[in-house]
Amino acid sequence: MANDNNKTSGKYGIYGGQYVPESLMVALEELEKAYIEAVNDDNFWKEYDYYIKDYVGRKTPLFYAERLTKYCGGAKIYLKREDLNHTGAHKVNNTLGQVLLAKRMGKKRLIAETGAGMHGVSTATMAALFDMDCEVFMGALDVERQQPNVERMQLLGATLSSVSSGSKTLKDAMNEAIRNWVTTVTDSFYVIGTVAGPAPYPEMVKRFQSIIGREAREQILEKEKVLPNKVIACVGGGSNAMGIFAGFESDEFVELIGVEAGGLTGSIHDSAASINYGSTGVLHGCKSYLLQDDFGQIQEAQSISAGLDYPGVGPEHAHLNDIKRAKYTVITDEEAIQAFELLTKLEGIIPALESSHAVAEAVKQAKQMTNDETIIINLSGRGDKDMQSVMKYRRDNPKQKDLL
Amino acid sequence: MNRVDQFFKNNDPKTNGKALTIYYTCGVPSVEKSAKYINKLIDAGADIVELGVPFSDPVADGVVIQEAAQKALINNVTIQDVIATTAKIREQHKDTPIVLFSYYNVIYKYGVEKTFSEFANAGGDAVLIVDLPHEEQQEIFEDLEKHNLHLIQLVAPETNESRLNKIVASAKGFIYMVTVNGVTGQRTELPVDLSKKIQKLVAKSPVPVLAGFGISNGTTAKIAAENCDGVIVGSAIVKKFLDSQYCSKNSIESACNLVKEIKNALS
Repeated sequence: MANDNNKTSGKYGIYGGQYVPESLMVALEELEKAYIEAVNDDNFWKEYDYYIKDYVGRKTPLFYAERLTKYCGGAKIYLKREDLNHTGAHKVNNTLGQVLLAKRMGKKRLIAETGAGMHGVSTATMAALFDMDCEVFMGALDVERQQPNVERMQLLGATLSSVSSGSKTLKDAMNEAIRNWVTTVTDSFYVIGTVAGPAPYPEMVKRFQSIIGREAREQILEKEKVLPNKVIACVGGGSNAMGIFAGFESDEFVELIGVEAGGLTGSIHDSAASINYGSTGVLHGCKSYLLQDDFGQIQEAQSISAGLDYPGVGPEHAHLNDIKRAKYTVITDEEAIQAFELLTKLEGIIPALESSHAVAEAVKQAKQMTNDETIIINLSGRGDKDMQSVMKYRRDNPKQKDLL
Repeated sequence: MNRVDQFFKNNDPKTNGKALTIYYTCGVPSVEKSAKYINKLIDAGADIVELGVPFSDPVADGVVIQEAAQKALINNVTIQDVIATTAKIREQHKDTPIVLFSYYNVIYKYGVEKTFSEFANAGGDAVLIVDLPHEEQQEIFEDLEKHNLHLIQLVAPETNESRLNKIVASAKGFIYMVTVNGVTGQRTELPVDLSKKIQKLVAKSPVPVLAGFGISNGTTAKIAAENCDGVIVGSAIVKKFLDSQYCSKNSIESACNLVKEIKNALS
């Protein structure tokens, strides 16, 4: 939260900060000032609320997954249906906020990085709605595996720049977006899609995403009269998790669980699990956990889910882990795919591969719990975009046994 | 006295010309050749060396230095190699200031104190950390002082008055004036309002000011140095060592000629 008139603290324990070249510091100062003015202005929220309701379609339902609950035979499972937002994921809660801020600051051009393409689509959508130019940076590998989203962005009028350096995924897209921002800093607004990057981005993105947790808390109290035992969400950079955690962070008995992507084997050399397998470092403007070698070179993350395929994590997650307020677990590609298949068959809901990681973790946990306990899964996005990846994965890796 | 200060104290622009700093990505084309080539570039006229530490995610760099870093990392170049290279340059050139030029993560992971201690012992003089702006520098000051290393400050075209005041107040050695909004790399021309910005900085700065980014030959060097104490040339030099897969004799000759051309334009 903003703690005085001009500055956010920007630090979460030892994490966070503003580790960027001097060329960007004035832009960050201006952004921070405009952000604090905006969030203290009722008119800003009036406009945000109007679009979040009539354009995005909130509030999203909290759905009792009865068949999945029965399947697990333990805790009651609820789904926070962020997949039902316009553009198909939670990303829009944040892009709407940032783009309204960009408009307020008089910026005419938006830049965004994207992994799975959901943040890119969401930013491109806002650019169309508010008549702004938009350039989206996407790793060449992700362009290939998320073709439907590439086409959506192009239809929406965004310029799509495919990034062929490094691992050709989200990390490299973010490098290129930052390079572009340094060059166009006077007229462009960088819409970061996750709770990472230099301050004030982690706080700002959390603020806009916290609508998820606020709604979910009200909804569960209405339905169950008590708070949930566990709240489970997937974590790449960690924006959907931070959004839902925000609603429960003060409820100390609610267990917060972030699920990292374990890749093919869930081992240290083959995952995107920065908190579980990484060490402290500085990347893309903030200090946090990173997958890196002994000499500080960033390692390539690995996950079937393009949206989780990032070697870092938001600084507040790093802090929540260290102070043990949240717990971070690992789910492999195979487990996530099985959860994808399971939810589709049992509930008629096709989840994004990212969200499938949270579903897999919830299934494992629900089985160990009793039927008077409850879990909320943040179902952060829908899975239409992943059909190709799932089909290809299943062709190459036929199902051996049920893991869930 | 720190060699950077010593250099500027002794350097008479009228006889030796203004200062020419070269940036060289350590490990290109190999670690052994880096030291050898840098020594030749100093003999050709380079006054100060910025020794670039390769990093996997160089967000402030354009294509040339990105490619150089990538090649160096394929050769498994580490901070230890960069420090060893520093020592080899120091053997040959006892007075040339050497600046460790790095992204913060490499130093942070190896250990800030450990990096500074080993670099200073190898004969290093100053450190420039691209992604450690004024706000975050507190965490390294103590270790810098302990090893008598200067922290080179950057000033960008966008840097406003209040930031400028804070930055010059902690400036040591020299200030690196970034000439353009953007990443490192050659450009055909420099911004029109550059000289105004440089003059403003020079008026405030307690230490010499060198201009960098986009300077690739004698002509651009002369323009950039008109109102300050010298220039920094990076991509134009590093590029010479990327042109052929097995960096030939021509690369170093051509790089030395570029150094001579620029040094000549600064005299």
